Amino acid sequence: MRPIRDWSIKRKLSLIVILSCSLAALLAFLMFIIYEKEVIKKEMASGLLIQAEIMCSLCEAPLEFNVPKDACDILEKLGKDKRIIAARLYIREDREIFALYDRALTEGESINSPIQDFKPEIVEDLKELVKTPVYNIPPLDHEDHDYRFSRDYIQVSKLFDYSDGSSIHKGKMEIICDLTELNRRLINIIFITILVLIVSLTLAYLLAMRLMRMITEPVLLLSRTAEGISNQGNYSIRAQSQGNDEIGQLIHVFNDMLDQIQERDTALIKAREELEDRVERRTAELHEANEELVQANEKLMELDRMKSVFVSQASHDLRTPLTTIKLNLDNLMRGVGGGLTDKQQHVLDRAQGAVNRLTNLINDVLDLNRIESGRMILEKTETPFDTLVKNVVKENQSAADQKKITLQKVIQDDSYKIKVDAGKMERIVGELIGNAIKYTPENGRVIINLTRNDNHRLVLSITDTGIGMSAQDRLRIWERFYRTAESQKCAIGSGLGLSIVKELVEMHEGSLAVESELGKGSTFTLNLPIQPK
Amino acid sequence: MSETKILIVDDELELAESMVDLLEFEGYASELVGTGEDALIWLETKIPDLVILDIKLPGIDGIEVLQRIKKNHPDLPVVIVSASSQRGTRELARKLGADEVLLKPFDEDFLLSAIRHLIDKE
Repeated sequence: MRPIRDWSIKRKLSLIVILSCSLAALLAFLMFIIYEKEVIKKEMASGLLIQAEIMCSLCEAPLEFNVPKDACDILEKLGKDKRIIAARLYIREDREIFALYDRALTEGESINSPIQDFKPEIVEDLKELVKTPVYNIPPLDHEDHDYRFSRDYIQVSKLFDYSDGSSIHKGKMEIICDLTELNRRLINIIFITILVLIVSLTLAYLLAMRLMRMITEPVLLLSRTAEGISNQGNYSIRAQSQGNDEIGQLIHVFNDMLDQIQERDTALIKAREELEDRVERRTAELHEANEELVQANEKLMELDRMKSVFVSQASHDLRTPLTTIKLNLDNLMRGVGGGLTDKQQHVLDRAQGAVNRLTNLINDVLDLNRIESGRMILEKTETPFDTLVKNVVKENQSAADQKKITLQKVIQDDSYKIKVDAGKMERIVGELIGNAIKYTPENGRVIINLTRNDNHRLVLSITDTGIGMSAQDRLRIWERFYRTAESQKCAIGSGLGLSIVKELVEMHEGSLAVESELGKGSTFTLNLPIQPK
Repeated sequence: MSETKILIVDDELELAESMVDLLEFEGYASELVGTGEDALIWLETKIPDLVILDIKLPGIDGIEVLQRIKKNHPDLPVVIVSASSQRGTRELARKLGADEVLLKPFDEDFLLSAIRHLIDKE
């Protein structure tokens, strides 16, 4: 059985109604029974007392003349009342029965009473009459009159005075009345009342069931509405209010709540739509921006390609006139057209220097262009790196000598064979040693150290006692055309050399680093894998 | 022994004339043609000791002229001068039998030593 809290409201209400009705009816019924019983008892007692009093006065004459049989006759009249089962007239302080009536004696019946140890004396005249001991109910002990109820009978007694001709004596008249009749009546009443109770409770239940619909119907309606809303997600449904009682108010509140929910729902939907719109718009914008970026990128790539082609073409076209200038300068220097004065020779020297620089610049620009467009190809061969370094040092010896710079080689092992593009590697090492000489003042020192580190890499470091550079410059020297302020004061250059060198080193899977202090000198460290992938 | 004769094939007149100046100063006789066609016509009648050939020429280009020369006169030394920085072109020229390939702008001394080397070899 389910716990009471899970019962339907209808069932709970029924329980309440039935329980309270039953309790009220039961209480009323009990009160009624008790009251009715008392009233009947009182009425009965007072009726019997009157009869006892009548008997007293009727028995005055037999007492005066001492004729018990007459008194018995008088008492026998009481037997006409079927309820009276016995009557006794006591004399001599209740010790002797003067007269008696007993239904048991006349009809052979005996009253059901507990056997008590009571044996009064009986006047001589009656001893013949009374043979069976039926007088076991003792007289009431009281001053005037009284009555007593036991389970099956009521005992009423009346005191009176009588005279025996000479003196006045006290006597007592007692009547015993059967209560079976009364009890039956009471049982009937109880039975009828229970019947009435059942019928009325049934009616009350049926009525309650019908009336409870007034309460449960709106609640069920509310519940069904809520369920419908929950299932369909449609917040425009409203519960119908059928009155203004508590449930009516609940429905009102519920509908108000629905109004708010619907309002919020609408706002939410609107916000979501707005958000979706915005997202869509943004996505479209992003898409557009992306498209533009793609186009811009394509344009840039196209421009880059065009730049590459242009640089290549321009350099090419520069070469021919440059060659003509160079040839003519060389011709003049050689003496074509006659000898030159020292001044003329000097002038041509300057022009020749400029032509050489221009040639180098074109070559550098072309190299960079080639690297950038991926057209630079390495031709790797097994190369003894130590020999390569020694050769480059040898080539630079005269330049160093001119500035009285000491070139010091520290080459620890002779077996540095690695697979590199020898031409490119000569360029790399040449550029680094050339720069070291170029940016080191006279009487300085350049140390070239070739070694092998633990990770099977060649480490070539070139340390100079040159002009050095600041920390900011150190980060920028690899940029194209970048030259530090100090280097510009010190020597002529394009600012492309280190850019190209760095690119070439990276093509060889190596790395190039610099440590430097302004005014003290620099160390460029080239790191190359001995067995590149 | 007659004067060493060098044929210069180059459409850049200024450059070609500078080379003529140099070669004359160094004691070589040289003649100048500006196109591939002219060079081939010239070569039909005469044979020089050496040809200096530019690759980029109007009409028949230097590569084709080189092929023709090497076909008809396999022993005639040819020095290619090219402004092309493209390695491929120069490699192609070498493969087709060019005896020397110089990238413009070249050093006079390189040119002269190449000429001397090639002519002395003969």
